[in-house]
Amino acid sequence: MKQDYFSANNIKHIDYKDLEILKRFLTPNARIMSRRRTGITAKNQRKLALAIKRSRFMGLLPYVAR
Amino acid sequence: MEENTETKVEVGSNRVYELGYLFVPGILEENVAAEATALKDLVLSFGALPISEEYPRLIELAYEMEATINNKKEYFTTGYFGWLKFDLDPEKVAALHDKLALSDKLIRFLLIKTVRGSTMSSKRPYGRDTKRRTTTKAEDGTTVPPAEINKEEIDKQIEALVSEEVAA
Repeated sequence: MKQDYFSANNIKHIDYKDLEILKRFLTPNARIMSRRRTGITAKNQRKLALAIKRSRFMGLLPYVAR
Repeated sequence: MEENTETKVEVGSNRVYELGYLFVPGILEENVAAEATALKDLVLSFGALPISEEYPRLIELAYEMEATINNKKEYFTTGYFGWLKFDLDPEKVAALHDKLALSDKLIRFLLIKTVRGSTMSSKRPYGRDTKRRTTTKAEDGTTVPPAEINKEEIDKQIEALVSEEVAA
């Protein structure tokens, strides 16, 4: 079983400004990876999705990339 | 069960908030700090106690943004992004939000609940938390240590190859 990246690195709060981390969980088309691909817990997947959406709103991450 | 620190109400009925903002790129570089201070003063006028902040810096936006500034629709591809973390009475947040929405210097802003400490995690390599494997397995299952590299010998071989190519 894959280990949760955030638990493994003791990250309790996923920041929308932490682009280095958020980009790891985006596909080449800038879509949010599914839980099956990220291997993180459901709780952290929800936090991750929220952080990515906040980051997109502020123009730090794209909504789509071709 | 793990405690949810995000929704935990801070002591003294105040709560930690973060304001992320994007200033219009039309502001002169030397005036950005003054604008950031003015924004901070506006937040502090609501009784907020500052915790930490990052001064705005010009960034390239990930996509073109549209904003109505002074009743005119404008498009932006760059902006000054900064943030401010502070303690504030939850009852005053709505008023602060409304006040910020009136600003003609902001393309967008994001007012969210957060935690007091730093939320930025240090850069860690992903997918390589373990040391790179340096030994290989032989056919019989025994491990073979990596061969010693003689730099002088490799240099000589490269030189020989280069001289051969030049001669040809």
